[in-house]
Amino acid sequence: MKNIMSSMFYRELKVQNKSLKDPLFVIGVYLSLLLVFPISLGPSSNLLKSFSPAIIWTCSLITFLTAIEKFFIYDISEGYLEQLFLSSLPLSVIVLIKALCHWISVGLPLIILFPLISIFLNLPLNLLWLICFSLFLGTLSFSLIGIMGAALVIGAKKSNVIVILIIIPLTIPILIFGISSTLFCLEGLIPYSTLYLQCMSLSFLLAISPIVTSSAIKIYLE
Amino acid sequence: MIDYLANPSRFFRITNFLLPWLMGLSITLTIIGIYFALFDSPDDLVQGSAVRIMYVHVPSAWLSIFSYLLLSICSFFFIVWRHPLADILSRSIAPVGALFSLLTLLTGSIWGRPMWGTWWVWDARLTSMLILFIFFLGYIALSNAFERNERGSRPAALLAIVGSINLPIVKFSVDWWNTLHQPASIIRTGGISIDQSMLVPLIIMTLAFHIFFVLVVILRSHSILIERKFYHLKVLGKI
Repeated sequence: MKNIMSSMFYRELKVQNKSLKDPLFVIGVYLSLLLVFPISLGPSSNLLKSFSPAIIWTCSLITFLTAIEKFFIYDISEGYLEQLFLSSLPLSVIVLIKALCHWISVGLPLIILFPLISIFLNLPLNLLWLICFSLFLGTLSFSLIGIMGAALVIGAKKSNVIVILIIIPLTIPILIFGISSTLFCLEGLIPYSTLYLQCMSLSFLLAISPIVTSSAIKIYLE
Repeated sequence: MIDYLANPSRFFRITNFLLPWLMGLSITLTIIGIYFALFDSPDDLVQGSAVRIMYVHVPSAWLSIFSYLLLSICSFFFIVWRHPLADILSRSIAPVGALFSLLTLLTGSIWGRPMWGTWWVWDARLTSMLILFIFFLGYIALSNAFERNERGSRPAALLAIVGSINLPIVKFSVDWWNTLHQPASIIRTGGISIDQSMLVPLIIMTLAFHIFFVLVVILRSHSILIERKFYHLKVLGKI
């Protein structure tokens, strides 16, 4: 059992990161999105600083939206989903592994990159690790929501448009909690309450996302 | 009871019997309600005649929330028992609900322009209604996104159920977000005791809207049923 899980984990990581280019592309997408804000808001650093929580979270949300196709694109074309369905592991565990690998290949580069981003946005450095932690909670939630959306639209026409329409309303609570804890951090406070709320939404998603995703995959395979 | 009603031909028979009654009732109630709302109810002390928008706005807001609830209940029935009629009902509810939530937003912003001085405020209620509208759109888009139309039913039903879990979270988090960042805005929550002269037309309009909703849903589900029959006959080569 453990062997299957670990080999599935490595396979998933390899598929989602064919080479070093893939995490670099994620970072490139994030940085190019980040470039839009100083240009549209003007270079004044005060304005940028007050908008920085919104900038950080909007950029990470859009980066995750662009990376949604990573979930199933290779699986569908190679008939891998049928094999997953027949394997001895329950489908919901496989879904969790997939979401975790997606987070490692999209969310982890962002968080490693985050100190650099904070320099771009003139953020204070003292509570940086807390912002990183709330980003970790939020981006993992994005992955769990994303895999639900991606599984629901497998086989649909114009799936990449519809997936955005169904994912964004689901991410709104996470954005709200994440942005408010980032705001607290910027004011130099430790955001216990919003971090708890973020943990709550993450654990809620950990419970429902595998169920919904695996039933969506079963619908596709029928 | 549900099994009894869920037979499509029986559904046809019962609803065909109900349709003229519903139609007559909704037309009469709408006429009476509009008469009361426009001519026989007092102006508000502060708002003047603009208060009359409420008689359209509040029933459609209630109706759009009610229709999402109904949509998620039908989706649940469809996911669990896989009865096609539940799917047909939820497919017919979704566009109507979307239209009523749009109507709520439009009438609200028409009312907000003279009262608040702005068409739109990012206030808790408005935002959650907008999110409800987007949920309806997502349901409609997902349920019609597949080559074979019926293939989209179950993913869309799953989405509706997930959305119904998300809806209270959206509501509370937006409330919470609002009190944190924005100065208190003018929200007319319940607890304002409405005078009877305004309450009666409001109740009549609400009844009229709900009966109209049932009527439209029945008509839409009839057309979807006929469409499906036609499609299956075509696939079987009988036409």
